[in-house]
This record gives sequence, C-alpha cells and structure tokens, in this order.
Amino acid sequence: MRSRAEHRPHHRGVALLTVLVVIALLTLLILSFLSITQSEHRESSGFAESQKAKMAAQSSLAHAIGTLRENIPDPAPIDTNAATASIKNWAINPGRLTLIDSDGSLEHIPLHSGAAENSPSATRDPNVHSFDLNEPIPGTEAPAISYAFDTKGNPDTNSDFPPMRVKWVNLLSDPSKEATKSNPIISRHAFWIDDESGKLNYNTAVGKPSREDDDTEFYKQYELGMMPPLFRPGNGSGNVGTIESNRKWGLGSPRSVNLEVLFDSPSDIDLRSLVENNYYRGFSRHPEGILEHLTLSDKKKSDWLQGNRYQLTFFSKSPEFNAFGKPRLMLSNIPLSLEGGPNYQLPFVYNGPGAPDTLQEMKGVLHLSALLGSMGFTGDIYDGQKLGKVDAGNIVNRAQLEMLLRYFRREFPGYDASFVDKYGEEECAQMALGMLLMARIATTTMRENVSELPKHIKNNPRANLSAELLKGFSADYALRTTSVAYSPHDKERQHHNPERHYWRFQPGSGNDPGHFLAREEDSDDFTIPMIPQTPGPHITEVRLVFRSFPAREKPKPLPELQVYKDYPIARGKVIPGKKWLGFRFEVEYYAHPLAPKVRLNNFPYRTDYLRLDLSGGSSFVQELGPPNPESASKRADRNWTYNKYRRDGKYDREGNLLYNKNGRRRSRRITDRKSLGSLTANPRVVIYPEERLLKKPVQRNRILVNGPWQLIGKERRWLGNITDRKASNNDLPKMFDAVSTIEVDVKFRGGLSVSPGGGRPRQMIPMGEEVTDVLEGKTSIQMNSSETPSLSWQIEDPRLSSHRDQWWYEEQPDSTAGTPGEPNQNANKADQFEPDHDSPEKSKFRYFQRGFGRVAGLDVRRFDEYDSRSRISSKGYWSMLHTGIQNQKPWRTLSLSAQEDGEPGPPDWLLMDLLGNSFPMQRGQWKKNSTLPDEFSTISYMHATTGAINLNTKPYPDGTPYFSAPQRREPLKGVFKHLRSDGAIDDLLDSIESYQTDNHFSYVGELSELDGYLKDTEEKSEFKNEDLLRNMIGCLTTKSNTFGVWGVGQTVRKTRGNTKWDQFEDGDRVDGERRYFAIVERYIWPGIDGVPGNAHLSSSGHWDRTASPKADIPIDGSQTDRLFQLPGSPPLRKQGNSNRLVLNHNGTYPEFDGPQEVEMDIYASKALGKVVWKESPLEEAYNPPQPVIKYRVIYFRHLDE
Amino acid sequence: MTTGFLSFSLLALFSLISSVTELQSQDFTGMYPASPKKLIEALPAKVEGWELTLSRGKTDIGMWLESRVTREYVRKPATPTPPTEKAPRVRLSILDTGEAEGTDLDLFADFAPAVSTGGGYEYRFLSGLPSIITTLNQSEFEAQFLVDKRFILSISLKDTPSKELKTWLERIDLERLRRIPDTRKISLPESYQSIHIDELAPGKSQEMAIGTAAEATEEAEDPDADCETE
Repeated sequence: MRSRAEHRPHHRGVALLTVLVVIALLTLLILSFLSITQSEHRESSGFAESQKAKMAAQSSLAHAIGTLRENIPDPAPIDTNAATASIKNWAINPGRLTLIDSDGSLEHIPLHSGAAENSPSATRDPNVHSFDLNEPIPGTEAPAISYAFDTKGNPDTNSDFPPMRVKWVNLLSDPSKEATKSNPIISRHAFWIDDESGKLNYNTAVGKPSREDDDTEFYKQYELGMMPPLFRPGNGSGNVGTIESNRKWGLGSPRSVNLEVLFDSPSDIDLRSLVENNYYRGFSRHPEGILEHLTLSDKKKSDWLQGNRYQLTFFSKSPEFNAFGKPRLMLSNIPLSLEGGPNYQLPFVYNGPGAPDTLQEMKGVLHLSALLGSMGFTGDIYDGQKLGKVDAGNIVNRAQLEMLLRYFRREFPGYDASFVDKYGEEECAQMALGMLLMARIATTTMRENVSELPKHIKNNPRANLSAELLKGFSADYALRTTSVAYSPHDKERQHHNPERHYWRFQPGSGNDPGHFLAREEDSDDFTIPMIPQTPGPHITEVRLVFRSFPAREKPKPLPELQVYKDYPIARGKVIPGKKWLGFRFEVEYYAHPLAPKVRLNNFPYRTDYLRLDLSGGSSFVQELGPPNPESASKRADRNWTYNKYRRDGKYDREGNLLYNKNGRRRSRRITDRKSLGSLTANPRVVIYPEERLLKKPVQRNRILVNGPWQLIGKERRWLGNITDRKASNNDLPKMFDAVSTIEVDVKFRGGLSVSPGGGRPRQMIPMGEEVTDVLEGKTSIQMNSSETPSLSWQIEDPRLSSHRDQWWYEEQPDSTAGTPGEPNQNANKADQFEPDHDSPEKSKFRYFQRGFGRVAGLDVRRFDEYDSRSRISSKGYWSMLHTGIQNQKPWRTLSLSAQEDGEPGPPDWLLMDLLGNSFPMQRGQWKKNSTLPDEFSTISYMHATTGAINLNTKPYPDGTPYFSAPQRREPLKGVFKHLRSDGAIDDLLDSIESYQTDNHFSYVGELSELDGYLKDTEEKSEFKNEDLLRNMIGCLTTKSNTFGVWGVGQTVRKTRGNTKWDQFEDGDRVDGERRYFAIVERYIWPGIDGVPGNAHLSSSGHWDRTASPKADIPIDGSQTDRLFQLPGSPPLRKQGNSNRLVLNHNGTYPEFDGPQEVEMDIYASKALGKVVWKESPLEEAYNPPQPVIKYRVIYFRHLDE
Repeated sequence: MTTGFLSFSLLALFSLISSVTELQSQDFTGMYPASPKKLIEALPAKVEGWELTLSRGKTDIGMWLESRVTREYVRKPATPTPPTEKAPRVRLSILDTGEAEGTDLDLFADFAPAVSTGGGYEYRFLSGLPSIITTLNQSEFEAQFLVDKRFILSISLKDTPSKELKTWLERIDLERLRRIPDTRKISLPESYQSIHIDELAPGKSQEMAIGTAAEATEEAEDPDADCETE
C-alpha cells in the first residue's frame, strides 16, 4: 500500500489555482456587477434628467399661461354697465400683448421669456443666454417653427432658417433662497407665444371661388351689391355626403377665407372633402388633419405641411367682447338661435342702475340687450300699478336704447371724443333707434317662402301662390318696419295717431344727459319726436293738385220703397254755373333697386293735418286735424285714420233687407262724415326692383300714386261726402261760382303709414304736432278752367323727411309742379337734386336684404341667422345706418372708410366694436350622442369666433437680430382673396405691414386708414369703396383667445470653476432638454359641470346632464337650428303644427348661480321668459352669469419625441 | 297673448269689412280712355291767321280715368298792335270720359234745350250736338258739346265774338273722334299708363305708370287698433 505522503506532491498547487480561479471569477463577477450598476445608474440619471427637463418645459408652459392670465384683461364685471365698465382695451401680436388705456397710453407686455440680448457667437456654447426655438429638432433638418419667407410671403426652403432666440428663465434648486453653491441653477426654460388667430384655420377656411370657378354667380351678386353674396366651396369631390357639397355660405362667414393661398395650385386640396368632413364630423384636432384632403403625393404632403405649418392652424378663436370688456351685441330674433352659439350662457347684459323705472325693487337687472333683434310690439303686460296694458318688448327696447346711448357717450380707448361729441346726443339717439329697427328687420320672421303660407292657401290648387306670398310678405314687412316705433301704454294718448308712436327724446341740460322720455314725463319745447330710420319704400314727393268739378244737387229723398237704392250726391243733377273745388294728394313712392317687391297698399299715405285757407269770393277755412297737442285732446280727428262712420243696412236688388243666419240684420260700415281718414291714399300697385336680366328690363321702384279726389266741404272740419247712399245736407261740398278764382293757402303734414299697423308711422312729412310743423304752399284756381294747379314738395334724402326744411316746394298753375315719377328737381332748386339711384350718394341707401323673388336673375331671398346663407353674415352691413337724420346731412351713413382730415370725433367704424358676429351651428357641431353642441367645432361659441384672422401680424420681440420670425401674409391674403386683384391685395398687405412698423391695430376698422383699402379711390361710392370691411369685418380681429406656445426646458449643472450660481455660464452642462408646442385657449368658463347652461330638468325635476333631443337631427343640416331641449336652452314650446320650437315667454331659463344676483324686470321676463338665480360660491357655480375667464391646454406635443 | 291675437283678428276683420265697403263705394266702371296722342289729331294743327300757342294732352284720373287734350290759338295781328290791346284767344279741348258715370258726362244728363234764368247758360243743339253755352262775361264764352255719348268738346273764346263758335266747331274733326272704338267697361285698374304730351315742348312729353289708390276707411275707433301686437 502507498503512503499518503507518496501521493501529496501530485496535488500541491491545485488549491492555489483554484483560489486564483475563484478570485478571478469573483473579480469578474464584481466587475460585471459594477459595470451593470454604473450603467443602470447612468440610465437612471438620464431618465431623471429627462423628467426634470420635461418639468422645466412644463414650467415654461405654466409661465406662458401665467403671463397671459395675469395680463390680458378679464371681461367687465356683470354689475357694471355700458357707462361704468372700466376701459382697458387690448390687442395681440405674435409675441406681444398691448394694453390700451382710456387715454390711449400703451403698455406692451412681452409674450415670451425675454428678448435675446447677447450674440450666440460670443460664447463657445451659443445657447448660454438664449435659445433659438426655431432650431431644428435634433435628428431633423427642418426648422422647428418656420422657414424664412420670400418677398411674397411664401416659405423659402433655401434660405437660412430665421433665428427665433428668446432668453432663458433660470430656476434655482430652491427658488425661495438665494443662489449659492449649494443652491445653484438647476434648470431653465424659454418660450415664445404665437397667435393662432394669425393663422389660417383649415377647419373653417374654405374660400370664395375664383371668377373662373364661380358656379353660384357669386361675383354677379357681389357686383350687384347683394348682402351677402352667396358662394359654394371651391373645387373637389367630397367623400362624406352629397348634400352639403351644395351648401352655400354668405360672404363674411369665416368660411369665406381662402385656404388655397397656401397652395401652388387650388387643385392641390380637395376643398369639398375638407368641408364635408368638418361639417359632418366636426373639426379636426391636430395639425396633420388636413393632409388627408390634399391631392399631393405623400412626400409632397409632408413637405407642404412642413413649409406651411407656421401659417396654418386647426384651432383659433377670437373673443367677442368690446373695448369696455362687455359682451358684444349679437343679433337674434329670439335667444333660440344663439343659445348653442355665440351667446351661450350669456345672452343677457346687465343694464344696471339707470334702467327704466320698473316699479319694482331690483338688485341686478338683466335685459336682453345683447340680442338686439328680439323686441317689438310684443308681450302685452299690465304694469305694476294695474294702470293698463303696455308692450313689454317696447320697454326692453327702451333699455336697449339707453344702453346704446351710454356707449355713445363713452370715449373708446385711444380716442378723446365720444360719438355724442361727434354727432350730438340727438343724432346718437336717432342712430340708436335706427340700430334697433335694423336688428329687428334683420332677424324677425316674415313670410318669404310659400311654405310659410297658411295651409288652406298652400293646399288650394286654384290659389295664386306667388300673389299670396307677395301679399303675406308685404303685410309682414310693412308691419315690422314699425316694430320699434314707440309702443304707448294703451291709455297713453289714446287715438293720437301717429303722434303716440313717436319716441320723445329730451336733450340733456347741464349735467343731465339726454334721454328718451317715459310716459309719465312731459314734453317741452325742446323735446324731439323721433321714429327709427326705416327701409324703403319711402315717399320722395308729395303733390297737392286742385281742380274744379261741376257742382251737383243733392238728390231728392227717395220714396220709402226705394231706400235701398244707391243714389249719392255724386249722381245728382249738375248745377250750371256752380263748381265744387276738389283736391287730391299725389304721392311718389321710391325704393332702391334692391329693395324687396311689395304691395303698396300695405304702405298707405296718410294726412296728419290739413288746413286750406280759401279766399276770393268768400273766405273759408277747411281744417282737418288738430292744430296743436292741446286741442288734440278734445278732437276725434287727432287720429289720422279718423272718419265718422255709421252702420248701413244691406239690401238685395229687390230692396229686401238681408239677414244673417242668426236672424240679425246685415249691415255695413260706411263713411258718414269725411275727415283725415279719407285723405288716405291706399295704393293698389306693386313696387318692385329692377329686373336687369330680361331682354326688356322692367322696373318699378319709383311710382306716382294718385290719391282719390276729395271735395272742400261746407263745414270747417268735414269734407264733402258725395258717395254716401243717403246723403244729408252737410255732406254737400262747398259750392263756388264757376267764374270765380279761388286763392288757397295750404298747410299740411303727411306721412307714410302701414297697414295693418293701427296707424303707426314709418315716415313723417314733416314730423311734429304744432301748426308750424307743416309744409306750406299757395295757389289759385280758376273754377271754370280745366287746368289743374299743382303744388309739389320734393326731398333729396327721404330719411330726413321729418324736417320741413328738407322739402323743396314748387307751385305751377297747371299740373306740372315737381317731377312726379321722376328723380326730384324743381324750379326753386335749379338742378336735379336727387342723385341717380346708382350714384355714390345713394350707394348706401339700402338695408338688410329681405324679400323673395329675383333681381337680375339672382335670388333675393336670404335666411335667418341660423342658416349658412344668413343675411347677417357680416356685421359690416350695419354700415347702412344713417348718421345724419337729426343733423340733416343727406345720405350720410356709418362710414367704414378713413376719417377725413379734420373730421372731429371718433371714426364711425369704432361702432363695429360693439357688435358681434354670430355664425350658425352646423351639423358637425353636435357630439355623437347629440346632447351637446360640439364646443370645439362651433364657429360662434360662448362669445368667441373661430377662424377670424388677426390683423396684427408683426412678430415680437422686434429690434433684435436674434429674433426674426417671419411676418405672415398668406392668412390675410386669404381673407381678401378674389375680392381684389392679387396685385391690389399685395399692396394692401404691404400697407398692413408698413403700418405695423411702429404701430399696432387696436380695432379692425383701422384697416380703413391704410393705402390700398379703398377699392377705387377715383370712385366716390362708399358702398364699393368699403367692400372689404363691409363684407369681411367678421373674419378679422385684433385680439385672440388662442395661443401657440413654443417652448423648451433644460436641466443644467454648473461646471467646476463657474461660480455664478444663479446663471448658466459658458462651459456649464446641459443634462436634459425637452421642446414642445402647445395651444392654449382662453375661454369662458361654463361652470363646474363643464356644461354651458344647466342642461335641462328631467321629468322628476332634477338637473339632467344627458338631456337628449326629442327628435333626430337630420344629417342634411336642414334642421340644425331646431335645438330640442339643448342644455342651456331657453324655454321653448311647440307652436301649432310647426316642427319648429319657439320661445316660451312663460317658461324659465336654466338657473343662474354664483355670487352675483341677477334677475329680470317684469317686462324683460314677459318678453323673454323668466330668469331665476340661486346664490353659490363662484367656485361651485354651474352657470354663472359673470363671464369668468379660464385657460386650458387644447393641444400639447413634445417636438423631440 | 290671447288679447293680442284677439286685437289682431279684430283689426283684420275691420280691414276686411272696410275694404269691401271701399270696393262698393268705388264701384264705378268705364272704358279705358283713348290715348291723348289720338285725341289731339282731332284738333286743328294750323288755323289760318291764328298762332298755335299751346298743344298739350294727358291722361289723368278725375272721377274716372280720362284723357284730355287742349290746343290754344291766338290771333296773329294783321298789323302791329299796341301792347295794351288784347289778342283774341281760343282754346279747344277734348275730354274722353270713358263713358263712365259720375264724370262730366252728367252735365248732359236729361239734356233739353233751355236757357238759364240769368241768361248765362244756354242749352241747345248746335250742329246737331247737345251743347251748353256759357257766357262768362262780355268777352268770354265757353261751350261744351257732347260727342258720341263719350267725348266732351270744349271751346273757350276770349275776346272773340261768340258767333265764331260754330266756325271753330267745324274745325274739329268729329269723324276722327267717332272712329275711336268703344272698349269693354272695366273697374278702375291698379295702375294706368299716363301719357303726357306737349307738342310745343316735346322735351316735357313723357309716359309713365301711375298707381291708383283707394280711399282707405279702415282702422276704427278701437283702442286695440292703436297698438297692434305682433
């Protein structure tokens, strides 16, 4: 056996080896572990830095939002009114907010983190002091924001990228402490706030057709002056529906902004496809949403978007608040059509102290002041003292007038005079009245479609439907043109027609401003009666013609058996050598060539006062109507429709009395004694606009109407009455010798009234109540002559007819006085003084377009405010408002042009700032479940308008070589495209840029001050010159509610040796970086539920957020205005068999809450429905009436992800 | 609301009633009168020794539509006359009454020769035509003649002997008037074409549509009618 020792040498060293191996393995293991640990640490550290950088970026966004929130003025508090709301106007540029104080002083707030001051090349690290936000994102080659633009405003991909450097904002580890080594800078951020309203919004912009692609005769309408001309979206086939391809829009809607300006060729985009998608499916919500509608290759699509991103957006809104921070005034017939749109939740305006005495104690009075078109002779109500009945709507009218007057007395920020300073109180009061009626006519419903005729007519195969429509429309139009006349208390000046329908304006004295008198206030010598400016037809000439007639005997009384026979004095035996003196009014009616076709019997001429002083032979006075208000109270002929009537039995041909089915005698009402009412001329003719397309154009927009002859009576206050079947002695006219010559002194006052309408006036000739408020003339009549001496009074601008001095008088011994049926001229004013109807002066002798039928082959009919063909598609149409009625300035209307040098006061276009745009909802604005309007896709929504383009295009900061963001041109070019030549538009855009060299636009109207604005400076036609603002003002803005924020956040670390602990120094390290783009919206908070209004109450009486419409909303868009139980909707009810809901005056609106108490006076409630309020903290309010501004991020994207 | 509707209905009813009343009171009918251009051809354009100083015509509404043409002649002096001496003057006119009731035609109703008490008026047949001759004063005479139950001729003589009446009557082309055809009688149209001719001042001639009007008698003494609710 071998000993242990023998074997031992063979094993020596193994252990060592083993140990070494183990140690090696362990080392390897440890090294690996260490390596892994370090790698993970690095990864962890990088992730942490990235997160920190994200937070830095987010702090940049929070900083940007904070800058906006802290500096953009909030809307005025609801308990301020037009007189007391504070003044702080504002305007937005890319990168700058401008605040405009009441004295015009400006404060500029940078909307960025600071202008770069140091050259990036001065340090090794170019980003030490600032950051170029346009620098390409790492890994890409394109600029982050925009290429430079060439001279035409197009992206130039070959040029250097424009620098857009902004300063850093440094953040310490603990910002609350001083910077030290232990509290150094750890991150920094930078941002620049762009204006999304400066870009073309592809969700709304479609565009006017080119003249070559004009398939709706848009340009023919445009040249003719139709308001608005209608267009269809341009080229393309569409792919969603077919009906909406044919939908037309009115010029002035954001749909009229041309998107094609961003394309080399219009065919690069399928516009119909774009429209149908955003109409049916709602708006796209990301920048790339447009790509699916491009007809380019994929590569080109991408390049196109990269090149045009800077001028394109999917989300832009501008606020609809005026310079005083109050909601702009919207047009609507009733709240129904707006509650889903611009006025959502805020249809009311606090009218505050000073509102008419309501006989109630009110804490905060709401009036529907924002909805200017709502009120007329509506809402009968017994007042608080049970004195009688009054029209609540008219009381609200008064509140609206007072509100407008308050605005007219204000100096707009930047202007040192008010409209009252410029025009005087009286003119401003007249303008306010004119505005009220314009609003009424723009929005009120009239029978303009055969479908609106009663069923028994529509279903009658023998009915002449077009004649029936004309009849219905004429009656509606006539009546509604007096809707805003003063509606008296029913016991107020009973039967004093037309005087009881005059608004009475009491000019101010001392410190008391002027105001419209209430019924309990007395007039004095300074009181000015007023009626609103009305649309045509007007009376432009009145003639009084005399002639003699053979006198006749009164027929002998008929035997009892023959009493049924009609045997008036008119058929009596002629008396040789004796004459009656007859006279008649002849009236020239005139309407502008685009006025609606109407039957004039709805527009009768009436005489308010007539006095004929006869001399020659014997003296005699015929006087009809009271000579002054005092005597009027005792006289029945204070009413210009007054005649004395009696009942007369009805007989058959055999002389048998006729009885009705109840056995009562049938009778008729006949004129017993003739007075003022008999001087009414009830024309039988139709007045119609020019039809130019016909081979032989026909037109009857001016016509003379001969009133019936009347005979001087035997008694002072009664005319001869020769048609009465049973004449009495005092019916006999006064008799004159045939050989005599009668001298006549004439005094009269006439007017244009309406029927039906109860004697309301729509034009007075002249206006007043005293015997001095008359037109005068004299003539002589040879009683044996067949000549017909005539007197004529003619006027230049019939809207000034209230002033006697505006009427030009002429007398002729024959029938030739004046120019009946012709443009006005007369011997006393040598030349023609009435301009031709295509003259510059008359270019704005127009009104909101109403009616039906065709002019020049073009459809005249326009639609209500909830249709894309709305007649109020542009607030520029308000420029037809007359501004010279009280100051007797013929043809002067609200000017949308530059002020003349030396012209005092604020420019007229400032008034546009008070008015808002309201564009209709559309199919795509409903969410899928159809319970709420799509707040994202609704063009007009809660006092903001989508798609308007900001005139302020100059980017800031300026004056630094390190920031040269391009100035956009294409969006504004899109607004004006095709309305002028491309060259003319370029000139205007040059002017806009030049204006902004050291200025900004506070108001859109400033555009009118620029070279290139007027269409044709040679032509003096305001209508043509002002076409850009008149049509497109609603597509322009100077403010914005949407902001594109470009930002960057970095985490940084100090390097050894750098000791400025609060700064980033050259050599310091950037540990992490994130860049982003976000869109921030400034919006009206709808309350804590996020639902505008308060939804509706369920059958159990509880608030129900998921209120559903009772009927489907058809996909063709034809019923999008039928807002069936929409949350926030006004109280509605069904009317008859109509499928349309109407305002329920007895209903209640969704409850208001919040800290501000609001209520309506009884008149507003009666006219509009009830408003209730419940106190709550603002933070817990569901539906606060105070517009509360909040900010939210609509879109966010990290650019480097 | 109910009150408003009621007042509206009442007003509508009143309007309806009154419009019916109005139609009845205006229920005259007549022929559409001949154009003045045709009528004036019946008057002599030239008269030896007389100067035409006026030649006009027009359509108008009296109690009915009517056309009237007038020519006036002034005697040319054979030798220069002192300015104080009045030149003889004659005015001829034709009125087309459209054969409507209530017009000047009624002057000839129940026509019978007679002389007025004062002697100023004489009813007689002259050249077979019913005529009313009026002596206005010593130097002015006027005569009216009924032609074809429709036309009324007027001859006014000033500073011209009344014996010339017949001479002037003969200068009028009555046959031309009689050849104007009668037409169907109609109610007063809503408008008519007014023709105004002035042969001596053609620039003043014109044609235009003129509207006719009814005498509105509605709007009763009803308080509700003062304030119509919309």
